[in-house]
Amino acid sequence: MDALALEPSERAFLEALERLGVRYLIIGMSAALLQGARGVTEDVDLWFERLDDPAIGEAAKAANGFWISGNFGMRPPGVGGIGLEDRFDVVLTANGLEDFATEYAGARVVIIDGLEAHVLPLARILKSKQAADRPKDRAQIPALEAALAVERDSQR
Amino acid sequence: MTISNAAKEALIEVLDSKDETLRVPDAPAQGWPQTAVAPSEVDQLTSVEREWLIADERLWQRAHVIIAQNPALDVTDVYHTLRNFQRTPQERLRRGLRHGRTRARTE
Repeated sequence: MDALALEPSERAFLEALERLGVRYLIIGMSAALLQGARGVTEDVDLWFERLDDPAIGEAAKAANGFWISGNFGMRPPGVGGIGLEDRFDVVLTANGLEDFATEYAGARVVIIDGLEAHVLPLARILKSKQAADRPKDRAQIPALEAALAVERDSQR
Repeated sequence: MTISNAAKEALIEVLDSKDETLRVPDAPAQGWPQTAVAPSEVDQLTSVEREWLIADERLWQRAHVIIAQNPALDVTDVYHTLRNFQRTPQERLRRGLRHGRTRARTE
């Protein structure tokens, strides 16, 4: 049996989001790793359909954390607290992507530690990284291209 | 943009700091929502959570100060690095190895 990928608080948060029907997408390198890309990341990037959904706060509470839906000084919207710390980043600008509903419709469902999660497909992650075009995005592109090539080959 | 009372308190605390390198930037980063948090949301926090939030806000401010001196860097990366610097070397290594070694199962 595989070791669990998530810390208990991370799992509790995602489990509560699922239970409460909050629509979100996992994007970025976490989503890429889930689909076979090689690499490392410490944060899970979450793109919520609505930042003002009160259920996000409920889910954060279930994970011994809290949710702040707007800017607090220079702090962007996000989860926090002892349970969740900085484990999740909230996506505020989805570079190179369509609107949430369009991307959600094309998302893949992946099982993480028994939880269903919607993740952005590899090709869309690649598009997003190309659009963001920061040095760290450019560095991740070869791993994404390799994963896409293998994925396409395995679908033949 | 309006700033909640709790945020103002945090900013005042930073401005009162003896740390000369810490200066509050003018506005949130480009592309971020310009909507301030509702004061009621902060009021609902416990004192421990509120303390955590204010400390976290200080880290974001520090991250923006560092970014001003190093514009090529990403503010979120700098923020996470600041948090990492608060952890012990063992914890940093543990987190790095855990994330480096973990492979989630896809079905």
